[in-house]
This record gives sequence, C-alpha cells and structure tokens, in this order.
Amino acid sequence: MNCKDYSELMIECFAGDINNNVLKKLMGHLDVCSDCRNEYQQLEEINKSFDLLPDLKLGSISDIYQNHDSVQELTEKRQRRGFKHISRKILIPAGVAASIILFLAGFLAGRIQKENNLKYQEIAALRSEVNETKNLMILSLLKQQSASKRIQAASYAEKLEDLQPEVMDALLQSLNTDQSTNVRLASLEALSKYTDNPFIRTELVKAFDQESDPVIQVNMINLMVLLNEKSSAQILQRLLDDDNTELIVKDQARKGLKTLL
Amino acid sequence: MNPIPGLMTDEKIMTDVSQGELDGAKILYSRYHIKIYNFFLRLIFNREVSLDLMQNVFYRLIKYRKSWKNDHAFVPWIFKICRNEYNDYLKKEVRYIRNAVDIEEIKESSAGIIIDPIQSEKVKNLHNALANISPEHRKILLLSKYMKLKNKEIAEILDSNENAVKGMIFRAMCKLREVYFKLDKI
Repeated sequence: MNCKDYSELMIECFAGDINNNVLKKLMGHLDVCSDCRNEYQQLEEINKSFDLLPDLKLGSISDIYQNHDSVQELTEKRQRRGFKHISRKILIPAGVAASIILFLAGFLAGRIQKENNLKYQEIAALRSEVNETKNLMILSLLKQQSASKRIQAASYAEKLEDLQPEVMDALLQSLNTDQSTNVRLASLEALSKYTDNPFIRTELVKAFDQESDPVIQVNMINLMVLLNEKSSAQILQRLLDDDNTELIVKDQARKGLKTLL
Repeated sequence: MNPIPGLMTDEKIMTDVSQGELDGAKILYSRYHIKIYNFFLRLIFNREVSLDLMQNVFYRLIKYRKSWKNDHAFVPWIFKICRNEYNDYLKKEVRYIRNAVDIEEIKESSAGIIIDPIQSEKVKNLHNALANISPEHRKILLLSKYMKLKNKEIAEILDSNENAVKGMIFRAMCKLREVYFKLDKI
C-alpha cells in the first residue's frame, strides 16, 4: 500500500467505517511516514472543526417563526407576509389615491347637487313669484271699471296653473254679481277649468240655482252636462217647470236632463 | 396522534403525515429545521436564501407527503428534498446572477454569517475553507461531516452508489484540507 491508499484509509477512519486490522495497519504506517502523520493530524483538525460547527439559530429575521413550529402556520405566515408586502408597496398608496378620488368625487357631487338644488329652488321661487304676480294682477284687473279689463282678468285666470283662494272668491263674485254679462261669462269659463276643486263645483251649482240670465243659464247647463253634475238635475227640472224661463234655456235644459239622467 | 410525540420515530411520524395527520409535520420541523437551515447556510452563505430554502423544504414535505414510503429512512428522504431544493435554487441563481461569484465575494459572504464570540478559530477557518471549495464538494462534505450521514444514505440522496460517494468524499476532503491549511498559513 502506498501513501495515497493510506490517505483514503484515513478518511474512512474518520468516517468510522474501518475495522481494527486496517486501523492497526494505518497506525503502523503513520509511525514511519511523517507526511502521512501530518496529513492525519490535519484531517483530525478538520474533523474536529466540523464537530464544532455550530447549529446557528434562524436569526433575527426568523424570530417570528421560532415560537410557531408548525409548517402549516409557517406557510400561512409566509402568505400573510406576502400580503403585508403587497399592502406596504401598493395598497397604501392605492388606498390614499382612492380616498382622495372619493373625497374629490364626493365634494364635486355635493357641489353639483347644491347647485342643482339652488337652481331648482330659484326656479321654484321665481315660478311662485310669477304666479303670485299673476294672481295679484287678476285681482286688480277684476276691480277695474272697464268691462274689457275684467274679461281680460277672467281669461288670464283661465290660463293660470294655480289659483289663489282670493282670486277664486273674486272670480265667483264677478260671476254672481258683475254688471256685464260678458264678464260673468268669462268668469264662468275661467272657473269651469277648476271644476276639479269640490268647493268651486258646489259654488257653481249654487250660482246656477240663483242664475236668471238666459245666456249664462245656457252656458251653465252645458257645463253641468259636461261635468255630469247629477245634483244640477233638480235645478234643470225647476227651470223646465218655471214658466218665466226663456224658451232657448228650456230647450237646452230638456236636452241636458236627457243626457244627465 | 401519539400522546408522547417525542418517542415517535421520524419514520412513524412521516407515515402519519403522509396519511393526512399534518400536525406531525410540526414535530419533524422542530427536529430538523435548524440542521437543514445550517446545511443551506454552509452551502450558500446567505441567511435569507437559506431560510427560504429551509421553509421550501418543509413545504415540499407537505406537498409531496404521498411520495413517502414506509420502508425509507427519513433523514435521507428529507435531504433528497433539500438537494432538489438546492438544485432548483442553483438554476434560478444562474438566471439571476449574471457575473460569476468569485472567491473574494464568497469570503465576504462567509464572513456575513454571525459567529458566536466563543466560536474557535478553527470554525472560522473551516468556514473560509468551505467557502473556497466547489459547491459540489461542499455539499458532500456537509452531508457527510456536518450531517454525519452514512455513505449509503448519501448515495441514496444523490442517486449514486456507495463507492462513488466514497470517492467524492475523498476528493472533497483532499481539496478542503489543501484550502484549509493554505488559508491557515496566510
């Protein structure tokens, strides 16, 4: 055996895979060969160093894992750590951006709505103002001396969307008491537009009952028929029975009664 | 679960794990994670990478638990996983590190391992020597000398035979001795 064979033996010796006979042979060689003795000592030192090699702890980064040895927990942790990683790098700026966008959007929406509200309120205010003015105008016109002005007032009232109670009263008054038949007729026409209002309806029936002007009577009969006002049937009957009633009115009343009943 | 887990052999626990008793992996982790971590640490000289690889090994243990066979020994089996993990790491490493790692750099990185103050000069020398031999040599020496595995077990891990392992250890040891005492002189 040469020195190379012995050095192989030495390594096996340190691995513990050697029997006593071979060991004796090796020891015998080491006694005579200084090179191999030196090599043996070096190998011994290296092997001792390997035994000294410390088991290093996982270190600062891994401290979090030391209390939790479960592999499942570990993988979960890693996933969570991955999520944290994302959250730091992306989620926070994204969140900030999103909150800014939301804030701006909310601010703008608020402003727009406020503006819309303002516009709406303004329009509503203007509308009611115009309405009020028109009502006032009608009232003042109805008090005018000129019959044509009063007729104008009645025709205005016909076009109005919203009738104020005062105007309603004024119109009813002009219907009942105005000197000019034409004005009364115009008032009747204006009021006939608001027959949805039960107050006006009953007032109209009352006015019909007391009416003596044949022109108004004929118009009223037509209106009653149009409104299908059953309560006016009695009045119609009375008009028919009354000898003072104009013939034209009687005729109209007869026709009206037929359609009503 | 066995009420006294400390008395269970690695193989018994691994058999349970392979049958779905995943809690057993806790015990295996507590028994081996330090050794495996140090194995990677001495192979790669990087704490973070070693930690990652060690964790991947246990992840693989869970993932490939079905491939466990009762008649195997546990340590060679898990070190086979370590070897695969290391090989995968090398493939990635080649892709990511463009310039070859020179010896100076390895020395630097080996110094990066925090060594206890009580640790002897010998261990430092060994660290430096290990850093200066090829990874293949380093791997086989770590398996043999640090992990104290038998040649037969190493052969199993490396898909080799006992005689080849014997030869590899011999060559690696010669190289290490050469480097160790060359560094010692400097």
